[in-house]
Amino acid sequence: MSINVSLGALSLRNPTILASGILGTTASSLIRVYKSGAGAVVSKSISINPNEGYKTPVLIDLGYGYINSMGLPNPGLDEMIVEFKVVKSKKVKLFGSIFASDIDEFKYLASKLTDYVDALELNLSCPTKMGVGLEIGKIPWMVEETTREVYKKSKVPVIVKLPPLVTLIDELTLAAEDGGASAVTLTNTAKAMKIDVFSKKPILQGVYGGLSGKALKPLSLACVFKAYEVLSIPIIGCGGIYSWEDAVEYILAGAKAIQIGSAIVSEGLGIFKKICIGIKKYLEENNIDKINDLVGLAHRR
Amino acid sequence: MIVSQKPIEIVNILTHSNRIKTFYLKLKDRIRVAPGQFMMVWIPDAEEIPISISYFNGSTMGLTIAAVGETTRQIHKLKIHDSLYVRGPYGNGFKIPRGINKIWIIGGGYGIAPLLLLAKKASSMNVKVISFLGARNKDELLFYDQFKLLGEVFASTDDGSEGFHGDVTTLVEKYLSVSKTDLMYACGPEDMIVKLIKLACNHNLNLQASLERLIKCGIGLCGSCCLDPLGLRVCRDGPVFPLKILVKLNELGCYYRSPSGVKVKLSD
Repeated sequence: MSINVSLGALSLRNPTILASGILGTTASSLIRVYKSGAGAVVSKSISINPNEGYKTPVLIDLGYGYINSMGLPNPGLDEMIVEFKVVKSKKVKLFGSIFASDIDEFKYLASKLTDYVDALELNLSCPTKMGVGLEIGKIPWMVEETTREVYKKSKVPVIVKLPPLVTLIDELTLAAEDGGASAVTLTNTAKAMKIDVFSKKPILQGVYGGLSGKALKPLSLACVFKAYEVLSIPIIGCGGIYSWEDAVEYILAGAKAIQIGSAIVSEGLGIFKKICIGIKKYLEENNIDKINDLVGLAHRR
Repeated sequence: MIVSQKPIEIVNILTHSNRIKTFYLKLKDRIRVAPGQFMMVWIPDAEEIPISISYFNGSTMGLTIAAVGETTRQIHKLKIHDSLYVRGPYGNGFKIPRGINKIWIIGGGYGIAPLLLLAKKASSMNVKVISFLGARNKDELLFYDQFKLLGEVFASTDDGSEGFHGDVTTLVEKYLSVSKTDLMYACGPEDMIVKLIKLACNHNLNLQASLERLIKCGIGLCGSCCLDPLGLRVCRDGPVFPLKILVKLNELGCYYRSPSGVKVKLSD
C-alpha cells in the first residue's frame, strides 16, 4: 500500500502539502515542516521586492476558523532565492508561490524562480492584499493569460491557486487548464471581515481578511467537486483539513493531494503524518490499492 | 484561554517609571496562566503586540508595558476603567522540574516582568529563589520589593542608583565564584541571554531563557517569529526555551527578521 501521488510530472512521497502563507518564509521552517512529514511544502507568496504586509492585528480566531490579513509579507525575490537554495540542498519538495501586480512581474518572478523550485504556485486569489493584481483570480480570461505567460517562462509545473468562488470555479479552473497549468489548488481563503462592536470599527487594519480553517471547508470542498467534473488536470484540495476524514472527503470529491494550513494551530506539525496514517488505513480497509483509485469516487451516481 | 480580541477593564495601574507601567485587568473568563506566557494586547487604531504576564491571581492579570513605540505610548495614555483588548495566554512558559531545590532568576530591563510570576510559583513549591535584577535605574528594577519578599535579591543598575553599578551578567558571574545553582532562568535583552548561555555552558549549569522576535499572529501560523536553524517559533514553541535548544539557535545575538522577513543584523 503506497500513498505517493503524482500531479502530472510531479511526484510526491505523500499527498499532504503545507499550504502557502503558513510558516513559509524561512528555509529552516520549510525544512522543519517537510521533516515533520509533509509530501511537499509551499513557500509564502513571493513578490519582486520585500513586502512588510499589514500591521497587526493580522489574525482573528473565530473559534470555527480564522480570519487573517497578513498582507503577503515576504522578504522579496532575492532573499527568498537564498532561502530556497538551502531548502533544496536538503532535498525538500518545494513549491514556490508567487504574486504580482501585473503579468510582466509574474513572468519575471517565474523566470527567476524556476531553477530553485519543483513547481510554481500562482497566487491569483489572496483576498487580503491591497492594490491591483490579485483580483485576477475571479476573471477567467485573465487567469488563462497569466497562467500561459508564466507557463512559457517556467521549466517546472505551474499550479494555479484560485479563490473559493463556487459559482465560477468551473470556468476559472478551465481557464487555468487552457493556460497550461499542471494542477489547480482549490481553494485560497474567502474574503471575510470582523467588526468590533465596542469601537464600532473593523478589527483588521486591512479591513478584509481571508477566512480559513473549519468554516472554509464546505465551500472549498464544493469547488473541488464542481471543478472535477470539468477538468482533466489534477486538483489539490485546500481549506479546513484537520483530519484524515477531511482529507479523504476532498479526495472523494476529486482532489489528488491536499494542503494543510490552519489546522497546524490545534493539531501541531504532527498533522501531516497523522493524516497519512489515516488515509493508508482507510485505503486498506476499503481494499483500495492507491490514492488514484479513490479520487473522485463521490461522483459515482 | 481568550481566543479573540476582547476588551477587558483596567482596574488598576502601577507606574514604575516614566516609561514603564503595569496595567491590571479584571478577567471574567476562567483561564490558566503559566509563568513566561504572553498575551496579545491591542487597542483600536493601534497595533496588536505581545506582552508577557507579570501578575495573575486567577482573576486579575498584570501586564507590564514599556512605552517604546507608537502603540505602547497610546496604551500608556489609558486610565483606570478604560479597556485593553487581549487574547491568550499563548506560548510555553518556564518549567520548574521536580527535585529542584535552588534557582537563580536573572532579569534585565522590562524582561524582569514575567519573572515575578516564576519567582512566586517557585517559592510556593518551596524552591529557594535568588534573583539578579538589572535595569537602567532604581525605578526600573521592576517589582524589586516583591522579589525581596521571595528571596535574596542582587540588583544592578546602569546609573549606579541601586546595587551594583554595571551589568547584571557581571553580577551573576561574580556570584558564581562563591555559589552554584540547579537552574538559571532568564529574560531580558538578547546580549544578556547570549552571555548567560555561554556562562551556563562554561560552568555546566542549566538554563531556561525567554526569547523575543517579531510576533504577528501569536499562534504559530504566520512564521514571522521563526528562529534559525531549527525553524522554531518563538510564539508557539517558545518563548521560553531550554539550554539544549538555546545552544543550537545560531541566529541569537547575530540577527532577527524584519516584518517582511528580511534578516537584520543585531549589531546595526
